[in-house]
Amino acid sequence: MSGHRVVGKPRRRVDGRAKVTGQTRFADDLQFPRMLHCKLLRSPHPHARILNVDTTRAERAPGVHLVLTGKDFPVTFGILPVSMDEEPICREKVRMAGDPVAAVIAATEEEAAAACELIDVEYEPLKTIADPLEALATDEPRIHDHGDHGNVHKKIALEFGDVDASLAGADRVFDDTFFYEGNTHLALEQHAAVALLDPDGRLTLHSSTQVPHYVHRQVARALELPAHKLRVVAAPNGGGFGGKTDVFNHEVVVAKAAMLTGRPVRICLTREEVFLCHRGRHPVLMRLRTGVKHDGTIVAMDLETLLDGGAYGSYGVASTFYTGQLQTVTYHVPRYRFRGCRTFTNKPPCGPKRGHGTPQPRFGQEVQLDKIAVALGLDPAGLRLQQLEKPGTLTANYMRLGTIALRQCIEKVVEGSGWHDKWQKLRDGRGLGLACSSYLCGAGLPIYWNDLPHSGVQLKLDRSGLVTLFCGATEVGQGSDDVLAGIVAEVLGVAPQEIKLLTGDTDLTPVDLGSYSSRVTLMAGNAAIQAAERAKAIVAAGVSAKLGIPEDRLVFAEGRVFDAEDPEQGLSFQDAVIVAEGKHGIIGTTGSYRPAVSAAKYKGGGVGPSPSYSYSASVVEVEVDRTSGWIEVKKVWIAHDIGIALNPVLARGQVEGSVYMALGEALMEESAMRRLPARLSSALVHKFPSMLEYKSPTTMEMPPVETYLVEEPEPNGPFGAKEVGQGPLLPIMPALANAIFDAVGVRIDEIPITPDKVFKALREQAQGRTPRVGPASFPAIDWGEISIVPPPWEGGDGRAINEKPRKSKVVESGVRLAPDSPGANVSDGVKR
Amino acid sequence: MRDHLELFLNGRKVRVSGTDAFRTAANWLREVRGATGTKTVCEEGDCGACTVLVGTPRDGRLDYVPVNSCIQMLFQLDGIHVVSVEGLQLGSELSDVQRSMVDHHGAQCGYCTPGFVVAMTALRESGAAVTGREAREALTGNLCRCTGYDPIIEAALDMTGGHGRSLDELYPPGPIAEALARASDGVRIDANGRTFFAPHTLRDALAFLAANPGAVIVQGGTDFGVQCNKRGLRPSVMMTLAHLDGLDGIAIENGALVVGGRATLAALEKFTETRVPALHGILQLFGSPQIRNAGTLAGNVANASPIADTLPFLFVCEAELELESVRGKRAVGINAFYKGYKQLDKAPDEMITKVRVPLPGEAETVRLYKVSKRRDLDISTFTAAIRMTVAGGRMSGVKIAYGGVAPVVLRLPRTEALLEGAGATEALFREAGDVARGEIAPISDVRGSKEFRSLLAANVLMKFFHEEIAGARVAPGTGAR
Ligand SMILES: Cc1cc2nc3c(=O)[nH]c(=O)nc-3n(C[C@H](O)[C@H](O)[C@H](O)COP(=O)(O)OP(=O)(O)OC[C@H]3O[C@@H](n4cnc5c(N)ncnc54)[C@H](O)[C@@H]3O)c2cc1C
Ligand code: FES
Ligand code: FES
Repeated sequence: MSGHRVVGKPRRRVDGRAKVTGQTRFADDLQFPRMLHCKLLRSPHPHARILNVDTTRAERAPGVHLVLTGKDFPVTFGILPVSMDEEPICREKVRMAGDPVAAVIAATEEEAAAACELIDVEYEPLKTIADPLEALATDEPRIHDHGDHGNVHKKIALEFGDVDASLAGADRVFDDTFFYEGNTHLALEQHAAVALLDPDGRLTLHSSTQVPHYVHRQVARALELPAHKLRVVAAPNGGGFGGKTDVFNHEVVVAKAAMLTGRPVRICLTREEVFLCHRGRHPVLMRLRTGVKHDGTIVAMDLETLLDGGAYGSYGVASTFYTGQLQTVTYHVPRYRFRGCRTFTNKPPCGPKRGHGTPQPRFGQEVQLDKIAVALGLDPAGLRLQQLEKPGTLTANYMRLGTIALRQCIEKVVEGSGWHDKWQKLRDGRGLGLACSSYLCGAGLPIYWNDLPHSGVQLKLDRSGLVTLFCGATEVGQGSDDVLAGIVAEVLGVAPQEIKLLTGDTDLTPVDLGSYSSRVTLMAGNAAIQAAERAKAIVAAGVSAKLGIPEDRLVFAEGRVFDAEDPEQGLSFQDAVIVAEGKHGIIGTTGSYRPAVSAAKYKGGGVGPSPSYSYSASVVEVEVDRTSGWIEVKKVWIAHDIGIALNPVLARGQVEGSVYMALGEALMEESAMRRLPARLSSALVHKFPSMLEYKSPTTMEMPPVETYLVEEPEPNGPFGAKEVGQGPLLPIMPALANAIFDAVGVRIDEIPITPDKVFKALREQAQGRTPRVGPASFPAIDWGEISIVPPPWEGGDGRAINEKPRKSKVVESGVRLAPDSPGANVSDGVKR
Repeated sequence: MRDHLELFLNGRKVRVSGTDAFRTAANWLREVRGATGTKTVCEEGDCGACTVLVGTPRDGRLDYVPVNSCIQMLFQLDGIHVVSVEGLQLGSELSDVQRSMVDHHGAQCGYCTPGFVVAMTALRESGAAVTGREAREALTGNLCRCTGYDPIIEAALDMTGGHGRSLDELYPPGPIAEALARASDGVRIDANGRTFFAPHTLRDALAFLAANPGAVIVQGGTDFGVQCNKRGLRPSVMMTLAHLDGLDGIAIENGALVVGGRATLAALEKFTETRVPALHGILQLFGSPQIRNAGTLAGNVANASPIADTLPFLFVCEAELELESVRGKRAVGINAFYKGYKQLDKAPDEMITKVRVPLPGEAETVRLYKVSKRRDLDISTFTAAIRMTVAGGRMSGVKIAYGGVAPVVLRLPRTEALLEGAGATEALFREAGDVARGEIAPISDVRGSKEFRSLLAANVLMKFFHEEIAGARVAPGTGAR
């Protein structure tokens, strides 16, 4: 974009220096005088009643200051108002191996750990539920007493147009089942938190969290503290990827312990505990039926998803909606039916990981498109290009799309990879696959019902010439600090490094809902523009009065404010601020952002709307060894529709980081569980709760990546920018699966795609059977009454025509429910 | 006898006594020294976030190599100059590596970054121009979940723009080496019921073992440290061999590779590069640079894992171990050394002082294979070594060993007998695959299913046939190597 001095220019990120010197202060690097250490005693049983917790021996152990149990925590909490089902320490029962049953606070971590061993807990084991099929078949015992019924947490059934009629009229109907195994974020930094009382009795909690605002709300709730008595400071995160977007029991526990002991209390989870906290990718079983015409045009799509939620609600209701709501935003889908079901199981709870709920159905959709292309003799790239959704469309399920540069993305990767010369033309063992995807630029609605801004930025300009930016956004490595500094620097004409940032602090900074759903660049970015423009106006007025230059002729650039017609005439930025401060008084401005109201009025329409959608296309080239099933990814081409890249190097880093994470999921990562033998309690335990076994790619597995940033400004984005942190992950898994088919003719309808699965499929192929590895079927689920919402082109208005009149106005949608202030949410039975 | 540790940290001499000596180096740096730039992430040598440089005095110089401080006990670092990320700047000036990491956007969240910076500093110290492949190999021991590595590799190919000083320029080695050399007599620390001993002579070592039969020898600690951190191992008596003279030699004597009981895998990797390429190939894929710098061959043998990567080779070469105790020396063939899962023909007072590996002749073919989930830095699912001479289409001297298919590494006598003296045909190798599957007892575990291993047992023979005999190379870049 022309005329910008900072935006769009590659530059060093503002926090690089602190990181390479090891000086960035992460949560576990904080040390305070008289600090105590906390350890949680965790249940070895996946499902059990707690009969008795005897802490007498632990209380007398050396170094011990405090022992806490469930009795000390009468109030539950949870990230979504609909599922406040978590306990800081379990009271009556444990729901997974790893649930905390007691906490010890001691002078050293070792003493705390040793004292945990002295706590005697009596359990009465209960029947455990290992997977969604067991959950569907087991009404009692219930893991929770909330949710739709039995061990079904949430069922969703939405129909946009008469799908059955369209499928019946289609030339071909493709019916596939897919399975996507769960996997985890594996951020390098373990979750850590330190709580301490200020001298005035207020509590401060430092935590490695992506969502200080939500932590603030939930810790205040769980401890029954007035919100203004609590300050939450998000330390820079050593990687998040969604794994730190929930509120965790340990955060509540150390906060309480600091209040009771009057001393700073620290906790740092072990790597194994991080695996138990999880909130990672949901395992999802899917059935996708798509009706097409002979030329491949989609006439209708019918998707069923079954999610293994694990032991708690977490973001699960939203995750479930996300397994369906974004299937319509890429290709034109005239009619669409989506039914999703999340079950509780006695395993670590799943939640949002990069791409939140959408990579699983995206995998199914894009692999199925490849099958359609092959079956109909079409080019997979052409098949997609011929039915791309149009910019500005209101989709069948009422998602309002913004700009769409997917065509250019596909063209880039097709050309870059030599697709037309290679697809179906390489020797046996070598192949190419293509896939596309789309993602949100921030969720259109907050996770609790309110009319407030989603993001705020405050600026302070003072006579030193310093610009200080205050924003609740949290740096998790994605570069949010840099984005904010860059935007303000652009508007005020100073260097980004010169802007002082204060972020992620609920006392000192205006709210930002958090670093999730790719919302920060767009939302905090827009707020930053507003605040900066307001500051600019104040400074311009001062300079104009002083120098007699009309305000609209003033240029803010290179650390100066000057006359566009006579650049010699002007002031240094510092002098300009001094002049303005003299005229205006102390300079402080604010900016805020709230997305437009969505057109999706039906129940559930709260999940999916976004101010804008990003698009990606990818081609993956692989080599497959027929003797061992070994897969080597030779190269990845990826193009991402980013609107405008605010800092291209940072954007490239996000794209390639996404490709990396995607390849890990696609090839080797899995949160698989196993059942211990009966003599060892039959517990459901993690197969790989360590990095030695949970493998992620090293420098040697990372193939060359060719990245294309496709720029077409999005009017809703700051300077036209869209998200880049999550979207580019999505097309990689299906592109890889499609490439394997091209290489050796086998279909792996399952993630991860490991050598033994390829090997198995090759054996099937050699024996003349269907060369496929994947789930055999999708269970019959009683979906109940489906909400019928006619698409916009069939006269719909965004509402379900058969929806019962709502009991209360606040029950808007699956996630926009009742306010979660203590006591307000008794109807779902979780507030105990 | 010294009753405390003496080491240098970032150029300053430090004395450590009491229980601190038994902490891991990473824990000591973070908790005791407040040097929180070193991160602990996995605590099992897998991610490299805790990487520090250890400089060992040698002839008045300091040789720096990167190791994982999370699985090094502080007592292992007696007599060493430890350089952590905090020690790389010159005042406020960044080092070349740090500067390049900033310039190339090598850091996103920054949690892996100190480890990468330190590992990359070792690469820069080597002074040689670096290729992309070398940079990748040097950094396989460091995980990054944010960047996809490319910017980091670009930084490694640049490494300019900072203060430009090498470690020897930052920390003149003479005085440090001298101070540490003076300290290198025996060390013994008794604290809180635990004992650490670093003998000065082999005699002292053997006498100590005889007096303390439960003593655990800690060498690289790459198995030991993981067992302490993850499996609650907490032995009361420990001994290192670092201060012994000798035992670190590697030589070829009378056609046999002779490896001293404390020689590191890194030294062996270097030695075998031109001399024993087959073994070198396996060592290159062994763990990571950090693991190889610390780990030893004797440790790999004594740890007795059925998937230890060096074992199939040692088995088909019919290697011999020299065991020594106060009672004297004896030799044990490796094929007879393992009695059951982690059960050794070794008395508690004995230690491995030498590994002798008679090397295959020029005319022989030896191939080693490793199958794992991830190419690098991964525990094997299945390992194999196949050795034979093929002349005029006939096979002789057939020796086959598999790992990961039973509680111990196995020789496959029936398969060997089937092939011995026979003509090499595809049909025979197929039959050999079936026989091999009958000789093994694989189990399903987290790394692979029984069936997968069983199939690999057969397929690896077919692979050998196709690649080494039929000569028709299958696709390159295959998983079984
Ligand atoms: C991240 C990681 C990756 C790894 N990758 C691999 C791999 O790719 N392949 C592989 O095979 N292994 C691998 N290992 C395992 C380990 O690195 C090797 O087994 C290594 O050779 C052990 O050597 P060490 O000197 O560190 O042994 P230590 O841990 O010091 O000791 C191991 C055991 O051997 C005993 N011991 C050591 N020396 C002697 C001696 N002279 N006499 C008698 N007993 C002795 C010790 O008492 C102890 O019981 C890996 C480990 C880690 C942490
Ligand atoms: S912390 Fe991962 S290698 Fe040390
Ligand atoms: S920068 Fe985050 S793990 Fe490497």
